[in-house]
Amino acid sequence: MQTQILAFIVWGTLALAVVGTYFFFLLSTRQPLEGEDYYRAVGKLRKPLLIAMLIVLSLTFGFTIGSLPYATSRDLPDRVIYVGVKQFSFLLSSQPLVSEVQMDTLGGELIEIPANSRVEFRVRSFDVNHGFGIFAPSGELVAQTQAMPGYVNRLIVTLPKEGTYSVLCLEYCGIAHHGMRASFNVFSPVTGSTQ
Amino acid sequence: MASTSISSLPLFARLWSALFVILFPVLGLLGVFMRLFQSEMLPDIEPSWFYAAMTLHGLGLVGLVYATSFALLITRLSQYVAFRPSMLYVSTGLTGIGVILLVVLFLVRFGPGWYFLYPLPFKSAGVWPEWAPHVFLVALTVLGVAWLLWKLETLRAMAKSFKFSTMLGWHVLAGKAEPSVPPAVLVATICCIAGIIALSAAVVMLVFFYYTLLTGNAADALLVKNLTFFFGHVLINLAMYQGIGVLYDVFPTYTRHQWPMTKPMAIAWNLVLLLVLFAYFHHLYMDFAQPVAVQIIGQAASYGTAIPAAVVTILGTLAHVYRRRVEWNWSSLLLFFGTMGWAVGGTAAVIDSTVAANFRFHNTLWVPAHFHTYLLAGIVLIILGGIAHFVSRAREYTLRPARLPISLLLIGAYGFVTMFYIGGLTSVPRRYAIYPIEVAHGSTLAQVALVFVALIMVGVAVYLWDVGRLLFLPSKRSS
Repeated sequence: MQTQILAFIVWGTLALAVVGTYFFFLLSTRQPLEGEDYYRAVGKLRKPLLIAMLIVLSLTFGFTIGSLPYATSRDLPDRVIYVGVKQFSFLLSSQPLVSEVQMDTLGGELIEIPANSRVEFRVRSFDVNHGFGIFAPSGELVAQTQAMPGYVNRLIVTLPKEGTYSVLCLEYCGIAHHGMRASFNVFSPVTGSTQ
Repeated sequence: MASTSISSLPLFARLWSALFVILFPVLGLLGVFMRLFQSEMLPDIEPSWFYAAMTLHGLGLVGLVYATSFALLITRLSQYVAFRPSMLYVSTGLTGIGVILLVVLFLVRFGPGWYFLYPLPFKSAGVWPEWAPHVFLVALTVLGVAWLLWKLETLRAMAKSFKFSTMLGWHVLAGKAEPSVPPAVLVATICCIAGIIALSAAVVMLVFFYYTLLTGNAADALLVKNLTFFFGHVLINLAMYQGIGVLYDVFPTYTRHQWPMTKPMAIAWNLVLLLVLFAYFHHLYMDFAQPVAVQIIGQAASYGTAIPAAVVTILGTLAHVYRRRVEWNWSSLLLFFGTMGWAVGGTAAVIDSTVAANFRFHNTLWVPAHFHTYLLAGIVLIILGGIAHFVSRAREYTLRPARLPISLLLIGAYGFVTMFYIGGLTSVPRRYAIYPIEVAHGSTLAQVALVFVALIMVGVAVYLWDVGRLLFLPSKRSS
């Protein structure tokens, strides 16, 4: 939840600053001063605002661009889970999934993952665009990727908390989009427990 | 305008203003239906109606704000350049045909969402009939032709009065003050060029859809997704930019100071033309098959688009009112606060365009949060303000300050979107008719949002009584 909380606080602070600024300027019209060129005076703020935005956005860009979630060919996971998706179901399997037929023939499999291990979800769709969203036991969205026909998306994550994780669809895919779900367990490699 | 007759309001502006004040509440009610559904207050209705309503709500309102903002901008431009009215009405008529087809599709519960990701329109899961995608593609084609004609006619009309380089403000960049080009012309030029590029992408996208429709073969889903979001992203941004063109032209009426084209403004809008074409990549951050380079370009371009908006238009609006004797009324207040919605929603959009944040926010309620902020609390207010200006001038009607109803609109709009933001904070997915147990609190947020919707409805109702009805009153005889 840390990313979400930080983003919400940043947005909330900036939103309040914007609203406060707008009302400050609105109220300033109650005491108009004729003959003064305040437009030019306020316009002088343009350069500092430009510089401030360039600095803030550049720093944010620099700090965040190193945290891209994309796997490279050099990223080697501890374990690979194959994910097949179609309207309106997920199939998580330890065996490679290459065809839609396998979605129907392979049975559901209980996926157990050791906490803090690097797991790769190899996600593909066999019909339309879907989303593969991983929700922690607390209900927090911790990772996601899209599932797209004709492509395989590699999502590598490290899940530190034990428990049952839910998978929900995060791309609108039709009438039962909201009902798509799967789950897997993350257990402690020390105690073997999911809690 | 000195005439007392409503006919002095250009018929074109009156037509689009009337369409907006009718269709905005109707399409908005589809959104209310969706929040009622998510609040679990409509247990006997099938989810397919939720998704059909979601599709028409999205397509309808995006199309409506895009078309109305452009119609209002054209009306302002008609002071400076001569349009061929026949072209404008042909485009309007074709738009009407497209909209009627979309309404028919709603009735058969066609629901692929407003950006209809390929190949979802062909995969109905038994909900909509087989002919629905055919009709949908025809509707999109008709709308595409209509809006392409509109853009081309606008460019033609402006090019007859101004040199192309001056339309883009390049003479100002070179330090020349003459010829004097209204900022609305600069904005319209940028919108026409970007619009034609976006509509061209839509043509290619439609070719892929027709290819699958006619041959049964699959196209490259990632390529079509890129085309879809390129088109959709540019289109919705142009809706806002076109409104800003109206703002530049109308707002000075109430501050009694001109809003001239300056060098920063010319630089800003030329930059916007470049950046808006590359920012769309942020819609595909979660498509890991995309090259990483374009994801990085997407974040850089998205950040870049915020700068000209803030430094030129937002600051310019504030500078225009500071310690000046401003005539505050329905029009000027809505225009002023419309830019505030753009700033607040834009801030959330910049956050969401950060790949690391998007990893946690993509397709959660954070997305409708930010776009409802700059649509509902942004461009919609600007359009309502623009309509109020046109109708009041045409009828020589003095608009009242309307502080109370505008306060209700603002409290309602910001309260409404705050429920979306909290939904994003707490990982509630967007576009869910029914919330599963992990995110069951989404229903509570929808219920609270409905309280704020009630405030919006009161504010809109007062606007319709004060301003909207003037569009429909019979013409007064000129004395």
